[in-house]
Amino acid sequence: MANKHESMHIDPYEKTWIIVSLAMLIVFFGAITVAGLSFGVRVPDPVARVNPNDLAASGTFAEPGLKEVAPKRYEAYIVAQTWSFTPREIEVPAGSIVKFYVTSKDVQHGFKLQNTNVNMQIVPGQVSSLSVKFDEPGEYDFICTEYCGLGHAAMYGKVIVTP
Amino acid sequence: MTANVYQLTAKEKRFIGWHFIVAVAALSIGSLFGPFQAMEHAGWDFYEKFLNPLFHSYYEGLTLHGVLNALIWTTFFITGFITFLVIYGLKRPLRYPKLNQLGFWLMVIGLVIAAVPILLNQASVLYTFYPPMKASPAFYIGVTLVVVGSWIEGYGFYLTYYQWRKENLRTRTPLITFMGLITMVMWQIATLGAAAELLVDLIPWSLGLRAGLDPQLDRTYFWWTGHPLVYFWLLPAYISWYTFLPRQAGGKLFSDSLARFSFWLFLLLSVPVGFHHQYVDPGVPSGWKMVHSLLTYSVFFPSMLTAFTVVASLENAGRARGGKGLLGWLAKLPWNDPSVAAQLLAGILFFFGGIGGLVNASYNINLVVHNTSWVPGHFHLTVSTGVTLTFMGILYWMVPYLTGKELWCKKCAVVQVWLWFIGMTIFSNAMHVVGLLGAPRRTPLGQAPYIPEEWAGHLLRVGIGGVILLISVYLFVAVMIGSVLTKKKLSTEVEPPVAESLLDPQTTPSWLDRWVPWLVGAAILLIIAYGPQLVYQISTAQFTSPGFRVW
Amino acid sequence: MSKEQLPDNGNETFEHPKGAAVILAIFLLLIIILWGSVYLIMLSRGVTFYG
Repeated sequence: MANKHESMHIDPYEKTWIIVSLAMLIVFFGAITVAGLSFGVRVPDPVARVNPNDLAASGTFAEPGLKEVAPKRYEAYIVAQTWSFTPREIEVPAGSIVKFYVTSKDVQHGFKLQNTNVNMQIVPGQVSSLSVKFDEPGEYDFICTEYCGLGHAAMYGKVIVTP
Repeated sequence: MTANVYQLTAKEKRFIGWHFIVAVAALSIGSLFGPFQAMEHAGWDFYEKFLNPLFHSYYEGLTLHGVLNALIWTTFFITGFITFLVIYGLKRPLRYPKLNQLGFWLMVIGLVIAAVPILLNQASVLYTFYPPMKASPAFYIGVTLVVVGSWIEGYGFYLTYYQWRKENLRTRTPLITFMGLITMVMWQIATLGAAAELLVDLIPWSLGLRAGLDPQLDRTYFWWTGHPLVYFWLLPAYISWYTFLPRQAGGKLFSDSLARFSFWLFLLLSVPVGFHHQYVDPGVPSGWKMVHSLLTYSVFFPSMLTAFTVVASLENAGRARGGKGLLGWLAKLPWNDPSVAAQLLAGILFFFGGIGGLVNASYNINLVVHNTSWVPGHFHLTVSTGVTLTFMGILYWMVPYLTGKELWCKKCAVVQVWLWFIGMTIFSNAMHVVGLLGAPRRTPLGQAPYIPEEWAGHLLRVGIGGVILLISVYLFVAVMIGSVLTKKKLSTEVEPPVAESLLDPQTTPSWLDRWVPWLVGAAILLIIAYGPQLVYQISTAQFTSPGFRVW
Repeated sequence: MSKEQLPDNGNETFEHPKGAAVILAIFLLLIIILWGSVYLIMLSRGVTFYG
């Protein structure tokens, strides 16, 4: 089995490269962990299941729209379908925290709220949820980012943040 | 060690050549549509004006582009290339050539069966074919046959290797064969996900035998395959960079054992990383996303090893050619050889593709880029340049090797690879930037009502890059056709440029040439990374989604 | 066999890849800059989870 002397020859430069690149990866991974756990930049977690063929029976999505749960705290229930969002527009005052709940009636869609970190895959049968705090007044488009058929490019809505 | 050079028979060369002919044919059609997409972004819509009604929509074009380029060009090229690596590396014919022919023809039949519904606009579901969009059953069946055909070719490779191993107990597996086999084994583990999705869900569902599907579960199946698919494309390019490029450049492979070690890591770590495509999925817990993020970071490591070994091998070559100083050797590399230039330029852009990939893999940073044009910007640096431009470079020596004739218009080939490099730099940079600004992928942006003015300049660059790439790809096709048709025979046969290692491969530790422990390791890692979530997602699945035709 | 002092046996007598080290150092710097800038974009776009 042992042919001549077997060894895994590693050049010292290469050894340094291995250590440096591992160190870099560890630092990066630490940075994203801190951003997730301490700062609160998180990815979606499962929140609920629904029947995409009968959203009216699914309580919260029977009447999509904005619900105020506390002063300046809102929940937005949005239904995606080919090729529009319902509701198409919501309005909140600056300083509000909005928790989005989005689901689909038909195929997969995307929900990306521009200039924020809210970016979710919308999968029928599932509810996607992330939150955002609107500090600046203005208009924020939410656009469909997953191919959902011929009208996909026109599928969007907006959040109007009033002063 | 003398007289041990096995020359491929004319029949074997023809068999390999047919793989490349199908591959290049697919590329030449698929690549037509990429620039149409890019030009649409710049405001020049050919679909409405010229392509209708032959091609029905942007999405039919996009489906053709994705399926033909990402799935067909790659799979046919790679199986053909591995056939060469097995025969030439082991210096013996295939054990059961009929088996490999069967695999090849199944792939061809699958391609035809899948192509018909796409061309009839019955399958404009893009190359990810996410349910509950429902294509014609023929599309799913065709794709399945392509995969099954590639498996059968794989079995042919394994049986050939097994025979060789029985007769060569103490010899290290020749590096090129070893790497080719790992690529195929990884592919067969990786495609189990797509096999489950297609056989259990999509085919019965599209035939009306199942009423509904759970689209979340199918996403999980798909991405089991979807990410390692990237490594299936990439590993053959790495094989060329490790084992051919150093010799083509006039040097040696820097480290045989590290090359093998990195390939084992790819086998272990390529598959259990699929959730990094599902970071923003609603049905996967964030903890499991984090686990796959960590594993994706781990699979970045062998690529870092590869970077070092490849660049050091090139330095070895440049210095052997008289390069002096810290970086003087770079200029001494044979840039006038289109095969070398293609691979060097592919490697440079792939550097940047790797950086973007690390961004995508970084858990919450994915929120910034998910489903934006950043993503196609990224994979046009990886699969469409790192891989595709390298494959083109391989064909620039392989076709003369197979035909015994000169490469037609070598200068055209050099121009072609530079055009690719320039076009892709412009295209991809613009796609990344406009993606960071929020532009969605897979969207005819010319029709979108929400485009801010600041995107316009970048979208124009997308179009310009696309036009340059269109010229480049047809120059490539012209060189290929010219080289097949030319009458100029080579005076001496091409010798495949397999690089020697700086160290004798027999000194490579034997644990790097044993299959069982690594395969067991791969299985354990898969069970840990996917087992609990698969059990959970299958046991809680709600098969409520009927099919939709939305195009 | 070849003109450089290439070892047959694993002794470290051949030249270290200095140029490769330089190129990879540049590469590492680029990774840190580019990855870091997207990380900062993420931080600037705010929080997605409020307890």
